[in-house]
Amino acid sequence: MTSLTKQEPPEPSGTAAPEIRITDVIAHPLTQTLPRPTVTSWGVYSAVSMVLVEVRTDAGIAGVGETLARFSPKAYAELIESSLKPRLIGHDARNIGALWQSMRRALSGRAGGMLIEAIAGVDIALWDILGKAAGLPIAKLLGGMGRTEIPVYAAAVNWVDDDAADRELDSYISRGFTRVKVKMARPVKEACRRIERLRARAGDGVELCADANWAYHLDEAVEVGRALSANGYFWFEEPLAPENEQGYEELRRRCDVPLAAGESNFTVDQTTRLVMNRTLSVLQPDVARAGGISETRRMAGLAQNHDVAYAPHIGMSGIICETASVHLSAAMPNFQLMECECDLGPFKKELADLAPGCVRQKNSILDVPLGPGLGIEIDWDAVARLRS
Amino acid sequence: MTEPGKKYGREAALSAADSHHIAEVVAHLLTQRLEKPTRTSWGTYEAISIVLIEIRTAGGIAGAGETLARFSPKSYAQLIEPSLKPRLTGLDALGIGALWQSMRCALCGRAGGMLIEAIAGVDIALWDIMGKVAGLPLYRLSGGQGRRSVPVYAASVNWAHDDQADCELQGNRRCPAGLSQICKRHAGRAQGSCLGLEIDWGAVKALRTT
Repeated sequence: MTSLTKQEPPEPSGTAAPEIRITDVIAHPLTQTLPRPTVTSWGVYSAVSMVLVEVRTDAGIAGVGETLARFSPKAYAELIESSLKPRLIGHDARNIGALWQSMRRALSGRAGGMLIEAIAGVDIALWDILGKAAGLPIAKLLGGMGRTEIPVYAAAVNWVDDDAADRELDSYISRGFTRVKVKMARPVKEACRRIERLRARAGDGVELCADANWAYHLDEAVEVGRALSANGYFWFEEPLAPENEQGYEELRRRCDVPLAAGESNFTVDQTTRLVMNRTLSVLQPDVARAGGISETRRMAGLAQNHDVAYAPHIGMSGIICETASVHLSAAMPNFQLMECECDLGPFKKELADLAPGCVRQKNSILDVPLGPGLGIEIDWDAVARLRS
Repeated sequence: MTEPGKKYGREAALSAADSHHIAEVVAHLLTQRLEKPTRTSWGTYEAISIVLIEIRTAGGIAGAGETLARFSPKSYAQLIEPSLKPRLTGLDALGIGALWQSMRCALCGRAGGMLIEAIAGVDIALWDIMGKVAGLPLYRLSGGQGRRSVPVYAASVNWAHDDQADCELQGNRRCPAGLSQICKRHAGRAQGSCLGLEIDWGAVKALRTT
């Protein structure tokens, strides 16, 4: 008779690694004024915020993460310190999956909104700790493609008048970018004119894509989509509101330009429909919104299984979000192209010892940091200066 | 032809509703300890919070709404104050659809989570004001079935051991639907108010967490 007693797996031969216990979680609400306002169909952003999450451990290793918190950053910081911190203190920082599950239960209701953005900041900090504990950059730790450099595109030519748009395009090209994103808005006729003008101006060596920030109704999006495919733009980003999934499916049937979206999604379940029926050609989660490296990696994996490319969104986020995205880009098999936002605000320029991607890139190619974890050191004086 | 000086359309509607412009929005954080913890598969709740939203118009009408904020109520208040209040103050309290759209744009990303819970409290308060302006309870305002009473069920027998579950089942039969600690039902039908409730501001003060 076979024994029904479950056999315990043997202990690994090396000595078990001591636990790395979380001793403190600090949420720093930060606010920056942008050197040049970002103008999209959603509105004009002249000042935006974020939360820098600092996780400390008893092993002397600290990690940092970033929570997307464009507005009301103190609300996020309060949520993190009152509802997430008690679920983290005393636990092993390396059990990221278990901690993620526990944090998700801090509030009931469907996953989404501010809670998932708050979790994103903690999750990135935990991956930073895991990388430092292992002595490996996150790009390696993810066990992926091991890219040492990644292709990026410049973001973005704002929705401004012709002269200003021309100047912005020229400036990206003069900095060596070979791929540039152009913001779209209403009216449709103006958008179609902008599409043609910038295509002609950019010249053969430069590829263009378009981002509408939900500007359109379906029929308008069809018209803009046709102008984009006629002018060889490589994708049409967020033409419709993200909740209008049926609209995206209809648009896919009615125009040829590849559709891109995903920065508005918080969790994998919100990604499933448009990825699984291959309405989207490109999935663009923002690691500082979409539950951090853990959930973003799950989204990219789902996309990979359905022949959908992964192209991280950065936008007005800071250097931590950008660097975490570089690590994911280096690792994920279906990675296509990363956004390189050129706003050069203090969140990108001042918070760490690593220069922002738009400064480091050469010919639209960006290096992957080699240090353990995220591979960046935070400038705590800058954090103090930007605290709101 | 339009007459010079005369207001038309939205402008006219706005000036007619001048006295219903929003003058004040206050988020009250309330926490209660449950007499008996609620046990579900999700966990055990011993103390839970809400945010009570108080909105006052320039004309002196007050509305009250409730935001689901079981935990971290201060975080909801820190969202409502800087991000929703500026989208409300000075605007027509009766333009609920326009205010809702504006509030939803306070944060980007898919609709969901804490922002929508925060909007819920404001929305209910605005409908309370609408009802008071119209002199009708909400069930009349919505032009629906006009039921004078509705069937309810008791919630809930907790996920507890058999004896306790039996006891709760018996107990719930004997004393159905308890009333909230902070609201007292009007004597008779409250025709003047949309929600048909009057807030006990003393109780609000006692339950405030900050």
